[in-house]
Amino acid sequence: MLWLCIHLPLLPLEVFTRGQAEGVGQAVIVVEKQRVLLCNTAAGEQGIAVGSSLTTALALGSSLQVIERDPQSERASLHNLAHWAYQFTPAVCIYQADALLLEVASCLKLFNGLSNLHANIVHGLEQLGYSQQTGLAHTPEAACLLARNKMPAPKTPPTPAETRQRLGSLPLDYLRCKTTSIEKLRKMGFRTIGEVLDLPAAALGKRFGLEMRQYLQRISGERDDPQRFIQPAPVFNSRLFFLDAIENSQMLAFPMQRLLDELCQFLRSRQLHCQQFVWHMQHIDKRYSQLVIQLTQAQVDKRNFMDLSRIKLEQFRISTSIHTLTLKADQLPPAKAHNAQLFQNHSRPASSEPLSVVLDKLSARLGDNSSYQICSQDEHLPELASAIVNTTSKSSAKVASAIRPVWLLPCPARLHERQQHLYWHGALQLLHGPERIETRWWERPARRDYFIAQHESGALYWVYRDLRSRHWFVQGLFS
Amino acid sequence: MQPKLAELLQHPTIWQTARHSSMQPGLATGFACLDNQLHVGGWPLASSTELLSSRHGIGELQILLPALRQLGQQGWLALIAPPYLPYAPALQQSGINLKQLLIVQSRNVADALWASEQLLRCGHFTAVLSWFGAANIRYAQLRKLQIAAQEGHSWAVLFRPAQLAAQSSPASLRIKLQASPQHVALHILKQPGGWGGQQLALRRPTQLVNAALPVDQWPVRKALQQTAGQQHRGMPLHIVADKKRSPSANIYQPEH
Repeated sequence: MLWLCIHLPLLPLEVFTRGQAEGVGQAVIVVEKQRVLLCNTAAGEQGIAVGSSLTTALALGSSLQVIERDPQSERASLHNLAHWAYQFTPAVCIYQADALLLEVASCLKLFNGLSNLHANIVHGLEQLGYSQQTGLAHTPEAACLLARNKMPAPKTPPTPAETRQRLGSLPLDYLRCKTTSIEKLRKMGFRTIGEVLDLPAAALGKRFGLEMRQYLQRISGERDDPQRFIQPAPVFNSRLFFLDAIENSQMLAFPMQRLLDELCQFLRSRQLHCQQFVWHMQHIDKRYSQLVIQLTQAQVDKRNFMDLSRIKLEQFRISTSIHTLTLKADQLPPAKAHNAQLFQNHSRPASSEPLSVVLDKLSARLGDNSSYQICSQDEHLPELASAIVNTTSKSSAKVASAIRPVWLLPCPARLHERQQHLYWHGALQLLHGPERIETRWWERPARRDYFIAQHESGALYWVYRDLRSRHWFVQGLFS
Repeated sequence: MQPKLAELLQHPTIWQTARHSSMQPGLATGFACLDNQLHVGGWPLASSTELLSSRHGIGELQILLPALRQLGQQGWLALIAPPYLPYAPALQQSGINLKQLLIVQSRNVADALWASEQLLRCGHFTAVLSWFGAANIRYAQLRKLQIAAQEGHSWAVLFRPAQLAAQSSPASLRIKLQASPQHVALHILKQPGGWGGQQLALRRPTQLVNAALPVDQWPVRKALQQTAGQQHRGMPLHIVADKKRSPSANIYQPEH
């Protein structure tokens, strides 16, 4: 077993600031109980120190943004990070409020060595906007101790003896036990963890209690330390906070990209595809708005997701500023592998995107029901004989033999009758007919005589006389 | 000939009267007389074609249907912002493959242009028919569609109002359509591979324009007389009738 502990020292701050692009010079401090818990570099340059009181910080800093610590969003972020880390190893657990624990011995081969894996993890966290410290050891407790101590990670898996040596030089303060015990140890003349680990366990147990003894045994690996690993979540939900509320929809593009990165990672690690995702935006006046992006075909394609989001965003007007952006995806069918063409068909250009992508783009910009297909139905009444269908269904109606127009009016238009002539934007002459259609006697009876009529300009219309109301209507155009 | 000049003459937008063979042959229109009038021998694919007409229902789709039937077998067809509802039984009758026919409704001209360009460019559509209503579209936008059609190897058919015939357009083929009682009159304003200016008339389907029954046997005659009132009895009806009985006349069942 080899444990990698990822310690996130700036988590309470980065929960809020990671939505920002690099180099935004806004000074931010996170306070807890009127004390500065963490501050970013811009705030540090203004002379604000961690631990000083809020009043001091406010006196020192200009245009300072003060945020109350939010343990709930820290927990949520750590939870998301744990699921993100699931891409590296199946054994991930949330170790402490600001640390993750990964068992990496089983996946060293997959990532081609420890240094590669380590670089991948560090780079990934950087992309997500978190700073980290890592520690590598044979026991979880030891890894945690090393991570908190900013020890540079070794290039090759360390042997237990090496770990012991690295631990040995750490000062006592890093031990996770009662401060009185640490004080007591210090008074006894101990300075480093190594010195304490060298003591006989039985003697330590007598003086400091069972708890301390077991803790030290867990560090050295003499005692088992079972961990509870996370189970992959069935849905994706991640959010970003904005320090400066966003007023321009174009400014959402960067945070969207960051969240989509996470989504694609999430989907890939679980071998899932995404059928629909939702951008959920919280405005400063406590209202919500949503952009729903429905995909014709479930897929994982970050570029395509971003394109569709961008198209939706272009039409989206931000009424009031947005402070939180959440990406949710809950329709996640299992990934299906597609067969690609072995031989490129040369008569057609090598289209870069599949048809479903094009259709998604259309519905993103024009609305969900803007593109459709039609099919014939076995119906006598003309307006019912043509139906709108989804792009995937099949029709099986037989072809009618009577003459039918290509265009149908959305609803029949009434013709004017004057002195035995019919008028519809000009005089009409009846050329051909009638064709009697009499049907739907069981609900709304229709009795119609259909004729082909010619407009004075030469255009051909499909008109009918409703035998019940004795009015004339035009229903179609022969184009 | 200088090599640079030869290179220049290879450009697809330059044509010489003496050299037809370099042009890509067009897709047969299904009407021999129209094929004869077009220098490339049919519809020029992978480019845009403009059909200018002042009203619908004069046979503007009829001249495209044979080509669309063929293109529908090779890929998808799209109708963008059609002026009326496309009627499935009629399209099926004309042999159009409804399973590969996409209809796109748009709220405004900008969306229709955008959708046309997307579909032309994507390479899945063999023909994209777009209606822009009376809107006047800028030259640059039309040019975009022309380029999209070239890149996607698709055929863009644009339906535009007849009064824009005098405007210049980047479309490679422009035809002005005019209705007459039995025909649709075509005036080729511009075409690839040679001069435009040809005029011809295509007959509309005979079953449409020929009357079916002798006029005095039409029940509508009685009906019209009834609605018009007693004083007009005996006045001739304004109905064009062919004395020949067409076989399709047996649809009618006499009214009781």
